[in-house]
Amino acid sequence: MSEVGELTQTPLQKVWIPHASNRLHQRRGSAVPQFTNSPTMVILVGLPARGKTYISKKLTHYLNWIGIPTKVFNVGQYRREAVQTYQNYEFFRPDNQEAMHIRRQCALAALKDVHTYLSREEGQVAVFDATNTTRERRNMILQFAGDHGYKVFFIESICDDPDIIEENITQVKLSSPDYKDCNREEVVEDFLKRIECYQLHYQPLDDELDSALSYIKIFNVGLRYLVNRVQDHVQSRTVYYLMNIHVTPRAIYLTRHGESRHNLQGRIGGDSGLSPRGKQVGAGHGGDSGLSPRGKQFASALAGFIESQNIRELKVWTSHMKRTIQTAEALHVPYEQWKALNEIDAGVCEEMSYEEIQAHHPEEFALRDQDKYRYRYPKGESYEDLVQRLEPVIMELERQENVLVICHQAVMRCLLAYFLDKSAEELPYLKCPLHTVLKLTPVAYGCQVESIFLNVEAVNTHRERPQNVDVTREPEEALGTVPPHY
Amino acid sequence: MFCMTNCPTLIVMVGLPARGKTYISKKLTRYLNWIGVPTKEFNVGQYRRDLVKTYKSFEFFLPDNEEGLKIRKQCALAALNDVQQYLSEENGHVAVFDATNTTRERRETIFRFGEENGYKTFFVESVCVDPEVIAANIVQVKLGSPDYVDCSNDEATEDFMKRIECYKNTYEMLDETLDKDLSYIKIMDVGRSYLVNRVMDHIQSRIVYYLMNIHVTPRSIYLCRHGESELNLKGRIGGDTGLSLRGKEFAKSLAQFINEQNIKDLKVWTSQMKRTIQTAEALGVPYEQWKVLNEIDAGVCEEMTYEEIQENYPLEFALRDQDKYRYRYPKGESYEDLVQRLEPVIMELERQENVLVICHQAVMRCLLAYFLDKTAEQLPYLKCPLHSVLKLTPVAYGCKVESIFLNIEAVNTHRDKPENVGVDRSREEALRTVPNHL
Repeated sequence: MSEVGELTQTPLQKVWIPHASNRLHQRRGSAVPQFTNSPTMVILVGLPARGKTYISKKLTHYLNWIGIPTKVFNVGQYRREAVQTYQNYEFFRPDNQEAMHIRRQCALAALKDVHTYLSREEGQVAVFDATNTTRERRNMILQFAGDHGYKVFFIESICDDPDIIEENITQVKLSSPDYKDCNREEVVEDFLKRIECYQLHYQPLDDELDSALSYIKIFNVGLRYLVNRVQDHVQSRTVYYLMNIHVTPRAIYLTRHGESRHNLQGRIGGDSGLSPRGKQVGAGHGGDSGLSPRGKQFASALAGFIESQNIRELKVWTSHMKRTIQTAEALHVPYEQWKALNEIDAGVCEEMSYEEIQAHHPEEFALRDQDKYRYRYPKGESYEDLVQRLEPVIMELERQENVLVICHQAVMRCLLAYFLDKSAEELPYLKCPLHTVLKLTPVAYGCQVESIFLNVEAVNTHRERPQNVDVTREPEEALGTVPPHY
Repeated sequence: MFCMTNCPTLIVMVGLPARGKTYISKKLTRYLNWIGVPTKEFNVGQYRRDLVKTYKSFEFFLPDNEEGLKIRKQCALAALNDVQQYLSEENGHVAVFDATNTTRERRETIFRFGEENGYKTFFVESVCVDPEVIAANIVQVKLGSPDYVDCSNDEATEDFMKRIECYKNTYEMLDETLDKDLSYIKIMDVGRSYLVNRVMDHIQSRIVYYLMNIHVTPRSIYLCRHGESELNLKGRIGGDTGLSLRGKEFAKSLAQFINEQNIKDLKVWTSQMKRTIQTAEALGVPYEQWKVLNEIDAGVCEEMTYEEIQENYPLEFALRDQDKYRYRYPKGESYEDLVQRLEPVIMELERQENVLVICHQAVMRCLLAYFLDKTAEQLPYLKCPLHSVLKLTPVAYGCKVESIFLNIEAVNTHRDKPENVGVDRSREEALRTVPNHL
């Protein structure tokens, strides 16, 4: 037992830690709870064109976004680097000795890099993206993982619907480096023969033989799942995520509320019009920092835009703050309010302008510029906190189809970073200007973005990172990148 | 609040006796109500007990017992009638239909009933062949059943095993091919594996996630607050101060208590506020900090005494007393908001085994309400005094609670609901139930 000693608060993340150096737990003082102990290998299993790479990439985005360092290792990529030019499907014939040797070498090279990532580079999860269709190959990987103390979780994608397979080939194989100079028919024909090469020796995960393994089997793009022996938190979250994603075509529209009075004055945060009941914010309540006249114009423009897009069964979500609700009201459609979509809480800096923050909290202002993602406002939040509270929103966005999210600058940056796979460093500086709608359409392995400015002028609220982020800097240096305001 | 249900949902349990159907029904109902989805369970066995006053023996359940079958069908229909009342007339969102439902014919009847009424149907099947698990279930919940009130343990067990046999011959499990169009989850061997088919919407997705995270491994959850803080002494709410002298004594006492309990692989969780962390530090073991365990944000009332709140915001003070669960502090939170943000904690508590959670008064009330199935009205008035540890141990269908006061004096921070909650009440009426402080 130890003495009840004094604590200090870390200046950046505002996390309480003991004065004395921590002899116990290297993760004490983390801003978000850590649930991962031993590293995990996620192993994909399945014939070609079953969505393994799609799942690998999406899962990796998600785990990284919620703070679990994850990396994909695509064995096909290693093969492309080893064998510079792809001739045709005959490379994949099971009796092609030379090719088999090369492919095994590639798998081993990838495993070597997995080891480096998990054991030397502080990675938590490695996603091993290859067909892994034979028990022999999977046993080799299990052996490897066992030797290094990694947990193993298999994800098998099984699909027998020829329409889905052909759609996959169209979406991602036509544009593969393997098929650079081929036309569509040639690609489909060759790729189908490639699949056949694997089909003969395919040993799916078996209920009996593999009953001791941890895995999820996904049937026909999510119609059915078989989940076996989930071991821990990461695997549980992975299963939940995989069970919520889908491939039905749809679009997600992200936008901020219309320009508010606070925006005009260069003030951050705030809300107003909270009724005496202090509960839900409704439009038409009194208070000052609702939409500016231009903001109201934007709301009408947004209504017009949405109508012109003719979107099937559009869901509209807002935060609980007056400015997003006022914006949604102009659409004259039902909308859902999520408290989780509220703007980042700037704590003691709420409703201040940057000039005021510099005047009253110059050190905080500098710390924020040093690490904008992890910096937590005193009595407020950080971007890192924001991501944690937005996770249920992301999960529901994955489940839904066409959605319009009317939110706030920091919130929109977090959501955008998830869809566009931006790093923690880039996230807080993503450009999300007022009066602009971003239309995200999933395509191939990523997301197509269209930016639509709705032609109603607004102040710029984007503050770039200044050159000098030191706490000793001059006010001019600190305020050099503040956008103009009234 | 995000609205999760459009049409009501009918959850239908499936499985032989002693497979955990009622355990799952009750737990699921408790969880859904806690997160704000009005849910009610309908146990057909209960309807049978109400109709057939005395249970004689397993022979009631013999598949050729015409009269028995007639009564049982009647009970099922009566239960479905009440389901309809609840979902279509009483604003219920989810009904859990707890019965064996082991024949395809029975399930089709229920499915049709669901369709006719515009309900989505989701089946939860529990399949278990491990004789040890079944024996343990019988001991935990059947021996104490009203059916066996005058029997010895051996008599009860023998009869119950014969009862199971009655169902086995006609049991038609949910089938991958025949039932491929239904939405269901099949739970095998108490959660070793799951088969999930056609999840249709948000609420079904949440249900599946919850069912996949619960377990039955024996364990205990310890809930306590931080040691008495400086602000507690002054009768001030919220803030982020350190422990008082007595609070520090409590922390040491807690360390000793935990040591004596000799708990296997104990995880310790705190909030990110100084007072819980200081308390955890005294334990000398690793702990995880959760921001979502932070105390309720009292917004503009942070660090005020109740007297100051009455003076500065008498209207707010009265509104809070009128509906303490839904009331949100200006620029702060409500208990309702707190429950939303605590949901991941509950989910992880379900996954874990032995855990000690060092948190705060409002937070502890929310967590306690989940485990003890308290309503939204009761929740904000649950008693969670300083320097007391609540040890929760799951048993049968519920939770055993032990309250251990660690013998270090502390101020009382519990303010009961005053008699007069009108906005025109006097200062004395408003402050009558404020506990003493410096």
